[in-house]
Amino acid sequence: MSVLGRKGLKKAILERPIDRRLVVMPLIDPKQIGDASVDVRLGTRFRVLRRTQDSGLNPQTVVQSEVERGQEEVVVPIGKPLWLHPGQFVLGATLEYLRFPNDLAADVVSLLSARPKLSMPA
Amino acid sequence: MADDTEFRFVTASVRRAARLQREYVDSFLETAGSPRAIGEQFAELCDKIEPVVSDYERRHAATTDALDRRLILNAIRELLAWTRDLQLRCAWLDAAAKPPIDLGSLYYLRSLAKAIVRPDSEFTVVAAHEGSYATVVNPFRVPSTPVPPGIVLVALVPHREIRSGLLHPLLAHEIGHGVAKVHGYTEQLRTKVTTGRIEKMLARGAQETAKESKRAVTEERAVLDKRLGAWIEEIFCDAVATACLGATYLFSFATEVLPDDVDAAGLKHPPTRQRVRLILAHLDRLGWGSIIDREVPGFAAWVRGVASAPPASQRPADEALRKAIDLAARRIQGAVDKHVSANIAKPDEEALASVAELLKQHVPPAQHDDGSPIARPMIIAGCWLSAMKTRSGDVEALADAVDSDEVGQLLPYALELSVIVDRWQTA
Repeated sequence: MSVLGRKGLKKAILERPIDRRLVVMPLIDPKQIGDASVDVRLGTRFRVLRRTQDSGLNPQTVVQSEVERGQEEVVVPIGKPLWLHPGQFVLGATLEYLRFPNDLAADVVSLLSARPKLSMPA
Repeated sequence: MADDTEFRFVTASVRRAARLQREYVDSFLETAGSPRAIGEQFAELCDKIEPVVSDYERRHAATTDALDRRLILNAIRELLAWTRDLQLRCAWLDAAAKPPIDLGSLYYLRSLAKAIVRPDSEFTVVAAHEGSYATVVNPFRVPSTPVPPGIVLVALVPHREIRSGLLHPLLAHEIGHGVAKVHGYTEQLRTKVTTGRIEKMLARGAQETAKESKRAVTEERAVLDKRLGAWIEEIFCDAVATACLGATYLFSFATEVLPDDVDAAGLKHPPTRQRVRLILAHLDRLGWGSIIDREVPGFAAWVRGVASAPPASQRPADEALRKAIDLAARRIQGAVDKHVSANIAKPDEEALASVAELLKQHVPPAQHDDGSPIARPMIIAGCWLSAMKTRSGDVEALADAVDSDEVGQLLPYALELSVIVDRWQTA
């Protein structure tokens, strides 16, 4: 197993046919490709947990609608903020759609240094 | 006097209703983001109510005639009902703040409205529980007063279709109504074409209709002129949507309209058969025709058959209008070509191939390999073609393709990403 460097990443991102490609859609800025990494950004879609009257979810019997009742999907228009309050938990998707070919895997690492007050488990 | 008490009570009720509407719009203006013109026009409308109430008060105080006072009381009651009914339009403010359709489609349509209606246009989509697709331009405008800044376009989408991304291109036709109204094309074109053969045709149509209806020829002629204006506007809007979206508009239009009787002439709409024929001719001129023929031959053959079949016989008035529209079509087309020249979507085979390839791999088709965004009209056209081709490609595939889960998810996502790439790269 080896780590792809910048050149290898660029090659993987432009690979043809597309089913063998490392898909990062969109790749807005070439600077996103680092020495052995690709920077991804926070997207526009979030799931915010709601306070409900439910006591909890039983993993053995839970159905999707029950899970969704406890969440709200928030789509943030371009240029608008998403306000997070102390202790609030949200699930956010990356802006980029990512897909890996069969012979590649990746770790997601958060840039905690850039967001010192946030806890971002990747 | 008893009626003074009643009058004061009704005027107080009007003022209260106006205040409540104004409070609602104030809270909208405090919290809403970009769509402000719709709120500002609504607020201005609320503010116009007070001078009207004051005027009624003055007139009521100035007369002692019982009948006059009763008439003024009736008028202020009508104003009360109208003011309360403004409530129905508050849903339009809600829709401006929280759009019912996906953001990708909305970004595209808003940018189209700004490009072809006016740069200060605000486009709001409302989920309507009745009727079909429709548009209102400056809905809160008070006649004969200066319009507040900004053009407000409110497009109504049938509630059942708010998740049908492949049908949202029909809203480009609705934006066309905005172009026609704001730039005065309907009246200009109607006046220009009502000469020579068309004039004679309409005169004959009015005479024949008058024989059947037993109404005056001038009355029938006035109706025909009004209908001609409406039909011209529809053809104009079809041409705007076809120019800006290419084959996409034909697919969306066919899905929504072709299941109905294609020879039925509406008061405001020409027969569908004629509209399809003109749309196809336009697509052929733009270079889309050969792509449709090649990619979805079953659909193309059927729709060309519909377009070329002779129309069913119609009432004299409808027949006159249909022929007038055929004669006027080139002039309407010319006006559209000139107006939307910077936004004409000529087919880009490379982009369409990229979209098809990415969709096959379940990737939102937003960007070319060189990093540039794929043009939005090509994204939508590519999605339509893929959705059709993965089914039979025949006309009946339309009804199924429009609800394709995969395209339904990837299309809005791709449109949104394409806009983000575009804005980032041009920032």
